[in-house]
Amino acid sequence: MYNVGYQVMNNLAIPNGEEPVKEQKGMGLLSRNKTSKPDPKEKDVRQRVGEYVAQIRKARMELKNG
Amino acid sequence: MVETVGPMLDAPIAGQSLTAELGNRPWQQPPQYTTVEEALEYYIPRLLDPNLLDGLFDVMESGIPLTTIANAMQTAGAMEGKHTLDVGILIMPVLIETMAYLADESDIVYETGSSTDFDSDKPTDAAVARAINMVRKKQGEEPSEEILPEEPMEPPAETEQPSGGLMSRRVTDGV
Repeated sequence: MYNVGYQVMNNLAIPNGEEPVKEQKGMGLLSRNKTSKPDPKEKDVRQRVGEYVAQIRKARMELKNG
Repeated sequence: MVETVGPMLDAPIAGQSLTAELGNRPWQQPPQYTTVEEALEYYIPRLLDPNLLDGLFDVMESGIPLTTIANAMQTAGAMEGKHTLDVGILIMPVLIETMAYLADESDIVYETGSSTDFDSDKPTDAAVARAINMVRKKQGEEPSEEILPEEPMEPPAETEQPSGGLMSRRVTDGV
């Protein structure tokens, strides 16, 4: 038998703490107001789970480090 | 954690799934919680319940890894028809991390069961036990080497003196 939890934890995609850099819009009168990239859709389930784990882990590390 | 490949002796008997009417089992019904968030809303309050938390800490302190506990929890939830196995596996990391947080908060010693938390300079319990056994064996061998020769098959009869204790062996003549 294999441990599912072991595989789940090792294959977990935890996002980095860096937030995505926002693109600066042009300040000119004729510049576009909207970026060419579409707005990000709803995140994947694995990404959401990774974010939840990252939040709890961050709180745990803060608790450990005082 | 090293997993050994062995025979699956706890597998269901062939045809066991046909012994009940289809749809009678809870896991054959539509799940109660269909999303990860709904399933977590079911589990997290139970993890935080003080009555259940003491038992959980006891299990953690007994050395059972958090991955095994979380796996048992989600499998039981799937059996009760609370959620599907897929949702259960998806929420496992959150359950493990939450249990680790609760254990850290209460200074409970636990084992995660995943290699990601292993400290490189900290030996495992198995390695410590092996080292202790080696030391004990060495300590046990050293005095015996000083007292007895390594091959006491034919000790000289002149040097051996029979002890005079009540429980000592009788020495027969000519043997």
